[in-house]
Parts: sequence; C-alpha cells; structure tokens
Amino acid sequence: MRIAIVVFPGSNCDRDIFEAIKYVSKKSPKFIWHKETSIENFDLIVIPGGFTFGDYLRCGALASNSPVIRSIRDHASRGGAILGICNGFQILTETKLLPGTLIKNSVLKFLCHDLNVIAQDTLPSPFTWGFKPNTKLNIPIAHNEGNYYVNGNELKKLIFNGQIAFKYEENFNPNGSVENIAGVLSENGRILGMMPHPERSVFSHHNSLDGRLFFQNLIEQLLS
Amino acid sequence: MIINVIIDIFPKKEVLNPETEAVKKTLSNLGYKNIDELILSKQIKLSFKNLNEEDCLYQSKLMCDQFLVNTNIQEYEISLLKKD
Repeated sequence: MRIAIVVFPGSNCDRDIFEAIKYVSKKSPKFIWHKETSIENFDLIVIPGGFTFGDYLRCGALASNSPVIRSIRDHASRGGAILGICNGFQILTETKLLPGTLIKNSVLKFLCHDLNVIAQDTLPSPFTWGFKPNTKLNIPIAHNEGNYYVNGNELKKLIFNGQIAFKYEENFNPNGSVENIAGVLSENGRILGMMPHPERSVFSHHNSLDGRLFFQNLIEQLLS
Repeated sequence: MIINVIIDIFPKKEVLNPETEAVKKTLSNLGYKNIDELILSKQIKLSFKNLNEEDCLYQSKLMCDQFLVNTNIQEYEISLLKKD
C-alpha cells in the first residue's frame, strides 16, 4: 500500500493525516511537495486541509494550478484513488476533478465542531463501500467555505449516479450545503472530496474514533 | 501603447450569497430602505503592452475561463480602457 500526501504552502493537516494513515496501515505515507512534476505510482493520493496560498483569489484556486496537479490528473486518468479533505476538497473542485464548488458558509462564520455525517448508498467506491448506507460517523468539521453548491441539473446527476458519499444529518446542516452534502465522489468513484476531517477522529485523545474506521475501511477496500 | 483592461467578477444570481444579504441588511438597519439590488463584486485591473485591443480582450477572456473566475458560481465582464 503506497500512499502519498501532497503538501502545498499553507497545508496544515498533512502531519495529522500522516499519523492517522501510519497508525492504521502500519506504513508511513510519503510527502509530495507541490512543485514536483513527476510522481511515482501510488495507490492513494491524499490532498490535506489547510489554507493553501492563503486562500487567495478563491479557496484552492492557486493550488489547483501548482505543478504537481498535472501528475495528479494523470493519476486520476489511470483510475487512481484520490482523497481531498476540506481545503483538499476545494482544490479538487477547482481542478474540476470533482463537480461543484465550496462557497462561504451560509452562517458567515468559521465552523469548528464535531458532528455526524451519514454514509450514503453510492456507486462502487473504495471510500464508501466499507460502510452500510446510513452508517453514522462522528467526525469534526473546521471550515469557512464548506457550503457545497451545484446547480439543479448537476445535483440531479449526482443523485442519479450515486455520487453523494456523505451527508450531514437532516436539520443539522452546518454550512448551507445543497442536499446536506458533506462529501462527493467522482463519476468513477475513485475520487472523494469531503469537508469533515476523519484524521481528527483517530486517536484516543480525539472525541471519536470514527475517522479511524474511515481509514481502516478505505485501506481494506483499496487492498481488496 | 498600454491598454488597460478591467475585469469585474460577481456571483451568479442563482447562487445564494449570504455575504450580499448581510451587507444589504446592515444598510437597511442604517436607514437605507430603498435598495432593490446589491452586488458585491471583485475587480481585477490589468495593463497590457505590445498587444492590440482584440488580443487584450482575447487573453483576458482566456485568463477568466482558465483561472480568474469559477464559472460554476461566478460571472464576469471585461472592459477596455485605452491609455497612450
């Protein structure tokens, strides 16, 4: 199992993901600096959260034009798995590897708290197939721009294709996302973007261990 | 010759913009009750050299579509300002 974590100027969850994956897989992932132009074959590339390039212009806009993105696109076109968390999700929408856009939270506040997300019935995907649909996971969020937006036609397509991976609980949508969306998959199920931070619910000093379950399931699915 | 281009970027009408609503509400609280529409936009000014007007406009449009604007949620207008 070879896992890479891409690091941009302003990434700040890279170490957390490193520790989470190392704990679960018993192997150290490799850090990849954003200026790399050719990267080896990996089973999974993780784009961590943070405030890449200070969120200038739009969240993820500058990072989505970094040199490493070409290699990430190549990895995606080979059907490689990619996980983008929080700012990583924003970067994946800016690169158009995932549909939609993350806009400012409807409450106009930075949100940082635990909440439940619900695994959905999706197309085949290593990110969700370890979970029974409607499994509830307690995973924290921490973002200012997590309000997922797609237009009506694109939303219908996401629902029809089974690309919605995770939703917030009905009546507990923190940021105004359409259809309570917390995470979406690419059309082939190999790319996931999610706003909640599973790497922050892995160790006993965290409030929940559901993120550990997320990474365990993901690694099992990738190995199978 | 230098040609100046101004790009205005603003949110699409169908995208709910809580920031706009908050500014509008505050203006209303300040007593400005007759605002029908308020648009918060971002402006980018560019100066081109050694290019004709047509190429300035073409390059500006390319920049918008490729990077400056997220066309899922934003629209843009490009205007030219000539300067010798």
